Amino acid sequence: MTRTPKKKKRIGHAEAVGLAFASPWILGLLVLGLYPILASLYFSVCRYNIVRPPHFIGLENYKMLFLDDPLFWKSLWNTLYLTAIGLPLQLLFALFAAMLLNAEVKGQSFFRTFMYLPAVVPAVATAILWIWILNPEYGLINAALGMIGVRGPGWLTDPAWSKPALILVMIWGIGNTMVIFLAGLKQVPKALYEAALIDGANGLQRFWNVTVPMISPVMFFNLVMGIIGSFQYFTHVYVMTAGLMSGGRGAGGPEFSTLVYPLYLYQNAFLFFRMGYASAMAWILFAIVAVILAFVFRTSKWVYYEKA
Amino acid sequence: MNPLHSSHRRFPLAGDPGSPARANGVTTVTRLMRLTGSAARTRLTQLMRLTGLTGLTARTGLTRSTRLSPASRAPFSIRVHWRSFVVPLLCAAALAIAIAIAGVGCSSRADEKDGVVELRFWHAWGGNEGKSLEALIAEFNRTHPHIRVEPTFYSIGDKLLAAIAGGKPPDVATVWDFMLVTMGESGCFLPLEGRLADAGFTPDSFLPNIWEYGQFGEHKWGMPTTLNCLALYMNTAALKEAGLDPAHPPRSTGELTEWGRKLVKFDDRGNLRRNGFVPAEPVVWMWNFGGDIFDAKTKRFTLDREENIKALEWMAEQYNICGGGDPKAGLDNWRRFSAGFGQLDSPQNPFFVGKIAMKEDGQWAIQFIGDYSPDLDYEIVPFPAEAGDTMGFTRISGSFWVIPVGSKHPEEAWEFLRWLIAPAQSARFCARLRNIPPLQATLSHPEFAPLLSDPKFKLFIDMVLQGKAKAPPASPVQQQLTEALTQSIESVFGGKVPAREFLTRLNVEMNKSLQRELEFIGPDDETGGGK
Repeated sequence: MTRTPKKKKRIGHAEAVGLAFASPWILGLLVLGLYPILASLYFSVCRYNIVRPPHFIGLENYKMLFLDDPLFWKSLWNTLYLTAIGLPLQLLFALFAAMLLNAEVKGQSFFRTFMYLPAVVPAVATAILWIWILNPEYGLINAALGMIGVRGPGWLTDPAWSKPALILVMIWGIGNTMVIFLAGLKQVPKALYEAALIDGANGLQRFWNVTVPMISPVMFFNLVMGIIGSFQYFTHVYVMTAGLMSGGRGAGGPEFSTLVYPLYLYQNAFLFFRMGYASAMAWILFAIVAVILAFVFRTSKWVYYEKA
Repeated sequence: MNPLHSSHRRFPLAGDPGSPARANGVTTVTRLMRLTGSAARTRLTQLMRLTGLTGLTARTGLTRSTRLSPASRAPFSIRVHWRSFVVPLLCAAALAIAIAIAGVGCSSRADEKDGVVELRFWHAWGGNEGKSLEALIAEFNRTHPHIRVEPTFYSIGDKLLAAIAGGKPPDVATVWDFMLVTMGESGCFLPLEGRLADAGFTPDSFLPNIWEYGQFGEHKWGMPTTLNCLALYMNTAALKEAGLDPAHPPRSTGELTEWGRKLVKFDDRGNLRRNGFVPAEPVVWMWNFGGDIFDAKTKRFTLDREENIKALEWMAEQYNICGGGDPKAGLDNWRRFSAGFGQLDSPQNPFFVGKIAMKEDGQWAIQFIGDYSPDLDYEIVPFPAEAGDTMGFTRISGSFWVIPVGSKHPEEAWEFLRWLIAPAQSARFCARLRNIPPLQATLSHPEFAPLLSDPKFKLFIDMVLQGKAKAPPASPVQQQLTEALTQSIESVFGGKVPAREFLTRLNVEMNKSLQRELEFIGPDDETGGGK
């Protein structure tokens, strides 16, 4: 939106018409966006099961979450684990893939399409596919490991391997991140590389001193989106650990090792009918993401912006 | 990547420089959005709104954006007079009211035409089972001209909760037994005990233990549809190979352990090739060790009873066998092995193909074996108890028919339910499904009685009639308990946590949870009596 002049001014006819046309959206925002958000804030200090009216209990839900619910901490740990280990790996692989795809080779567009394809497959379909790839007895991965004489791990059936298995699936789905990196790479002016070449910079130096600063805004974007995405990570776990027909029962196994935060939130809301409790969880999640992102924005001095 | 993230996000291919940057009031966000193109910009704005990022910065941006210090710069600023929102909002409100009026106008009493009441019925039987239920409904519609039942197949889950909360529930619905009390005590269903009493039902109308099935407090939240129960299935060929006599099944849990040891087979790399017996029903084995998980009188969990601890230790022992005695290897082997099991309702069922020699399974498996593996030679026996009882306890499971709160026609819904559970109808439905009917009178109904000539099926009925089949105690925190008993319990099987420690801790947790639920249910119980 453009900035209006400083002096106060009655809105003109054109603005009124424009805003009238935008009113369905504005109403939608208020009714479908703002209201539920505020309502959930209220429910988070209530006992609420959808059917009965909410019953105010103060900060009881928050108290119980922090002091009396081991699964809350477990689920938070699982989500932080996936974010702290999975996200950097995703970004690295996506950048690496983007750089490969940026190379001028024959069949470039084919490779680009090929590498992007996994991101087009719906999440549920990927999850079901991966259940079989990760199968300890018949799965492709363990079959390959078996050929070199390694007894592959139980992947999704072993609490020690289930989170690494999820990270593996995440890395497979880097298509979107990769394409954004690719767009960033394409924008790096050729002249900078040429100048660096003349100065005698080798490949690594060119990457570190030209590519990285020039694409740092794209890295920053992917980092922010990745953090948000990781904290909302739900679909794959839900499908891969429980199956679609169970309605969330038994999800997050084995031994709650893949019970990610949004999954536990969902179970509280729709299995245990504790909507107030789930709302409190949602607000805690919001606070965590907000704090982390505020930190990321504050420390974003490494991001280099060309002077426009 | 989550779906929101991956399917909608567009990627910017060309740089979109946007408007020239202002010297102040431009932050990383603005630059970032400029850089990433317009579609991604919209998305980012949206996501930032979702995550509340704008709340952190835009708040200041509204008023002070032009003279901000670099530390608190606003990403973009909006300066619009409040009155400019009034016009569009009024327009939108008018539109919404118009739509609402139109909606009410055309939907009034759509469920009642020419004095015929329409009942919406959500059931959970697909395929041939669904067809036999729909045949019953067609007959009801024929014989009851003042009611029309409209059946819909649905997968039981949060859809029903949403419908009830939204005030437009079906008039009759099907729910799993483990949801009944949680939902019922939350005020989702009409209590039926008054109607049951008026219709002349007493505890003796039902098979033993069925009257108590799915009841927590004073209210009956539903009627059992059909019942299932479990027994021990044994693969005769595997038993003979191991030198065991199927005619003399294990008489105690100790003997069952011995059988499991003799039946297990490994390949040369230590992988399981055939498993003897691995239990999956903690509550059943707690009963068979003389324990129980709940005291109905005090409404307290009793998970930490000595008998329960012994039962869990015994269960863990069965898993250890899969690792040649080592708990960690045992659970790991079992998990790898079972991850490769085929579908239960297919010829690849692990029991049919001899991968597992003995297992807990329901009477429905008789039908599966007939359909998918008719040549299989097998025996069914009751579970042994620890003390040496050859007919130990088993578990009842099934679903319930309920009348959701908010049904416009509870009287007609009850009339339909009563007809559906009457012996004539129940016999036909249960015979088709090979399930156990809840009412005593249905057993002798000519439509059902022929099934009793099959000794394998009759065993299940006998277990029920002798009172050996029970339902796990129902409580409003049942689903929570189930999650713990299917997930955390594996830490006991894998030798990580001792059975005593696990059950003691779980008992404290569950009692706390239950106490909280009870406090909530108490004062707000406004569903009234059973009428």
